[in-house]
Parts: sequence; structure tokens; C-alpha cells
Amino acid sequence: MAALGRRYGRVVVRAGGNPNQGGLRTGIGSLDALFTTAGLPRGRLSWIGGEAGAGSFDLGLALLARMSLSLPVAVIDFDRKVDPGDVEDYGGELGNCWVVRPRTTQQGWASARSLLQAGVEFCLMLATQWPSVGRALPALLVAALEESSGVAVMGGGLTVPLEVRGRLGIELSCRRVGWSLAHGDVAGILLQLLVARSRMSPPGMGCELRIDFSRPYPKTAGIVDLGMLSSSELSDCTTLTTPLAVVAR
Amino acid sequence: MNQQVRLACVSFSHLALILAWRDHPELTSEAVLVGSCSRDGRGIVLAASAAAQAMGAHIGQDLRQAELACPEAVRLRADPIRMDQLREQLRAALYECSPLVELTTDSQVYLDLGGRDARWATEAARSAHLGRSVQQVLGVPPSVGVGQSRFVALVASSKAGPGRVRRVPYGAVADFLSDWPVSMLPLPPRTVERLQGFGLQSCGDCISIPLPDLQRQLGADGLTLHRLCLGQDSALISPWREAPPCGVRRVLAGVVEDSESLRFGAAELAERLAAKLSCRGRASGRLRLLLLDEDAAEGVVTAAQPGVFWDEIEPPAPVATAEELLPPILSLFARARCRALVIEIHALDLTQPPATQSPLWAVGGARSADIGRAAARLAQRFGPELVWRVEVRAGHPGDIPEERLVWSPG
Repeated sequence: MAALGRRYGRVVVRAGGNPNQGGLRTGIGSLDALFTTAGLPRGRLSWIGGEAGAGSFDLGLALLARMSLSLPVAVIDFDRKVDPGDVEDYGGELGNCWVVRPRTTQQGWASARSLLQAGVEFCLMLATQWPSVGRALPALLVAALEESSGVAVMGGGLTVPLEVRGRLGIELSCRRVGWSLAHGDVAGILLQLLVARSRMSPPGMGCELRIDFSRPYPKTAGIVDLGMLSSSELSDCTTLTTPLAVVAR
Repeated sequence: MNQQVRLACVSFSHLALILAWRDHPELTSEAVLVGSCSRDGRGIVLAASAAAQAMGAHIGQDLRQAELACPEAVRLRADPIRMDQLREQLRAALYECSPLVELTTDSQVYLDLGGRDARWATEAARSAHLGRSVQQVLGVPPSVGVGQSRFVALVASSKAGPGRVRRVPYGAVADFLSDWPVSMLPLPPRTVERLQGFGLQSCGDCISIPLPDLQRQLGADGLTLHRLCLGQDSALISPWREAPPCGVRRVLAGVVEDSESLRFGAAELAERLAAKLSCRGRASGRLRLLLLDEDAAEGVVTAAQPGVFWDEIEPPAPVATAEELLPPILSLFARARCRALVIEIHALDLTQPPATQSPLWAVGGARSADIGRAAARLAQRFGPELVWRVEVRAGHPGDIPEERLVWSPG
């Protein structure tokens, strides 16, 4: 093994993820409880997927804003549509945030790997679709994650390529269940987050969150924990029969 | 002493000061301080004009102290890139006169004028040409001294004055140095103090004392003093020589044709090269990749040779550690289109590793410098519009992202 490692590099021979690496706490109790690591799993690639408008982008940016208060973070904007001002609106620190706007998917993956190796601890990759990138780039990204104990989260999209899916540590399904209204205005989004697939724990757990937008009340913007989902709610979620609800604030 | 040893010392104004005078000719006779940043981040005086030195400023002084000493002095910032260019021009002019050149400081050089050169019939013609060449490059007249040793050449240069050449022939050294004050000899201050206590004020006074008496009073410094007064110091010049190449070589078990496979070994090569650079305390400004297949001939390798892949890359900043070396090495491997049996990576343009002081008090600041360097490498690889830093414009910029945010390259 050592000879192979010396000859072809550390990437070719490596052990599985370190189970003791722990997690990166988000500070949102229900969300942290979804992971056995009590936080976003370090050294692994995670995916928060969902339909367009499900809230995965907002959730990702709100998480990025929380992390940017204490860690260097990066957002890889594959669609070049994200407004980094949202990070500031969610109470984040833009001074700790690097924004990458790649021209090609390969550039985005390579940038994420380089920035994680350089010291970025939380890397958010946002795209509405995830085209195939081959096997090497996801493998190298995961190797960089394991080496740096960083966290990488893919946000958005209904599907991911098979070669990426094989590298995912946890898949979270995001679903919008309603809007939060204030004085007749849409002031936030209600969403449910389910563990669709996990390499670290049995899937099936879920939580409900509310993300308050920065407009019209910028001071309250951020994630609000609405608690874990009960078994009956979870069964509704899995059959996808729960109608969209409008919840007054 | 070898009769062939003839050394020249050329003294001139500091290069930083010369550049300042070029930009501001009106400051030629004014007090000027040229500041630079030391490795620990302090501002220091790199060059001071004669007027500023007369008021108490000196080279190497803390910039704030120098400003207190001469508050009316004009303060300028040194331009290291232009200084490098001027240094190169000066070095080229000096190599015209002698193959052995020592650029001691930015205001003094030594040359070996020993032996004969067909271009100049006499030493006087050669040293005059030397002075004219330096004046042509710098635009200010240098003072040139020629003697049988470093010390004699230095004293001759000091006595010559700007625009003049002072040559000290053999046999006349003792007379030449007789009035040179002991306070200006390269001796420890305590020794100089003792000499002055004995009433010995000049080299002429010292040379009249027998060597055993000097050694009895001053120990080893006595012998040094005796030799200096006779112009017999044995220090020669240390000419600049190109450093031996620094590189790593890896012989593979078999021919590899896939560049992706080659990249797997890049990390190990980067670590080995980093260890070699660390031993020398240097960083590399340029990396060269050589891939040789079984058809490549043994011996000296050239780019045009069959069976040789030859490529070079210049990282955005000098690289020294394995983490810094790996990205450019990977870039080189990505460009490789060749069968490879042997991999060689050479570190070229060795320089001082860049010194940075991370803002440790800021959140994540210790890593910001590393991330910034990684962003610079990504920008070099994929284009400048890839990694961005964003900040919110001050005031009330509104909600439109184009007006609200200020984007700057990462």
C-alpha cells in the first residue's frame, strides 16, 4: 500500500472516511440532529437536492452565512446567478467568503478542490442541474475533503450523475411546504428537509425549517428551527402528498 | 602576495536614490529618504541622500526614527522592480570590464582587474573605461579605486571622489595608507578605542610599531591591523556564480503514456522538491518539467531532442512548500503529451521565499493568505474572472446587485 501510494500518489490508495472526524455544527438543533456527526459531516460531500423553488439555494446560502461568521467559506456558483449580497443579508461576513463563478463545470469542481486544500472549511456548490464531470474530479474533491476535514455541500438539482452520487456521504431532500407571510407580504419560506440516503446512519429522519428572507425585515433574516418531523409527517413526505400550505406568521 | 591581484572598488550613490533622482531631478541636492519594508514588516531606510545623512539619518534605520531626525526630508518609496532592472543593467556593464564581479551592496561593487585584456593596453585605461561604463548606466559619476587588496581598493575609491579613478601601485601602499585614520579601519570598536588611547591615530602611526608589540597588546587584532596597514588583507572578491540546479528525478518502472497516471505521482515529487528547496532556504520562480522516454539520449537534454517533452511554468508567486509546488506541477503534467520513462522537475529562478505575516487576529485570517494564493493560481489557470471577493458598497447603494456590491478579483 505504501509503495503504491508513493508511486501513484495518496489519492490512489486511501482508507475510508474517518468516523471520528465529527461534524460542523450549524447551530440549528433539528438540522444537526439529522447527522450522526452532530453537524454537517466533515471530510464528506453532501447534497441538498430538490425541485426548482424548493428552497435548497436559500438554505445553502443561509448556512453559508452562518459558517462565514467563524470560518473561511466559498460558494461555487455554477449557474452564475447567485447574488452574494444574500450572504450579507442572512447575517454572514462577506469578508470571509470567496465567490467562484466558473465558465465550465470542470472549472468549478477544480476550484472547489483547490480552495478546500488551501483552507476553506465550508464550500457550497450551487447549480440547478449537475452534468456529468467524469470520475476523476469528484474523487479528487472527496480526497481533498478527507485531507482537509472540510465540508462540501452541493445545493440544488433533482438528480446528480452516478459517479458523483457514489461519492456522496449524505443526500438531503428539500421540499417547500409553504410560505411565511407577514402583513400580506411573503417574508420567508417553510421547508422540510429529509435524509434521503446516508452512508452514516439509516435514512428517514427529517426536520422542518423556516428561512426568513431579508426583505421586508432584514434584521430577522436567517434560519428558524421548527423542530423534527414526526413519523406521520415523515410518511406524508415520503409519499409526496402533502399539499403546499400557506402559513401565517 | 600574488603580484597579479588587482582589485577595483566602484562606489556610487545607492540605486534606490539614483532612481528617485531620475523621477524627481529637483531633489538632487535635497534631503531624501527612500524607504522600504523589512522582512518583519517594519519600514526601514533603504537609502538616504548626503543631506539627509548629515542630519542624522542613516541606512538601515527605522523609518520613523529617520523622519524624526530629519522631518523636512522628502520621503519616497523604493521600487524593487526598477531596482532589479537597474541592477541587471549595471551587472551587464561590469561584466564587459571583468569576468569576476561582486555586487556587494546597491552602492558598491568589486571587480577583479588582474591579468591582461587585449581591449585595454594599460590598467589605467581599463579602470577609466570601467568608470565611464558605470556612469553611462547610472547617470551619476562613480568613484573608482584600484589596489592590490579589497581594503586598499576601498580606501582608494573613498579618496578618489566622484568621477575620478585612484590607482595605488605596488610598493606605494604603505605611503598611501599612512594618513588613513584608525577609526575607519574594519576593526572592533574596542580595538580602535585602545589604539586611540595609545595615541595611534592613523595607519602611519601603527605601522611604526613592531608586529610583536601590536600582537602583545591587541592579540589577533594586532596582526589584522598590521596587514591592513600594509595593504595585505587576503580577502578576495566573491563573484556571483549561478547556483547548481535544484531538481528531482523519478525513474518509472515502465513507460507511462497517460498524463493522468503521471499526475498521481505529482504529490510525492512536490514533497521531494520542497525538501530540497527548504535545505537551501530558497523559493522557485519557474518550474521545468522534463519527460524522457526510452528513445531519449543520455547526457545533456535539450528541448529539441527526440523523445523529450520539455515545458516550463511560472507560478504567480515564488513557490517553496509542497502545497505551493503541487498546483504548478499538476498544470505541467496536464499539458504533457509524451510517453515517459523518466520524470524530472527542475526548480529555476531561485529567490528568497516570500515572507508574509498573516493577520492572525482576524477570523480565518491565518488561512486567508493561503486561500488567496490558491485563488491566484486558479485565476492563472482558468482566467482572471473566476474567483471573486465581494463587499457591500458603503452608504445606501440600493437593492440592485450591480449597484450594491463591489466585485474584486480574488
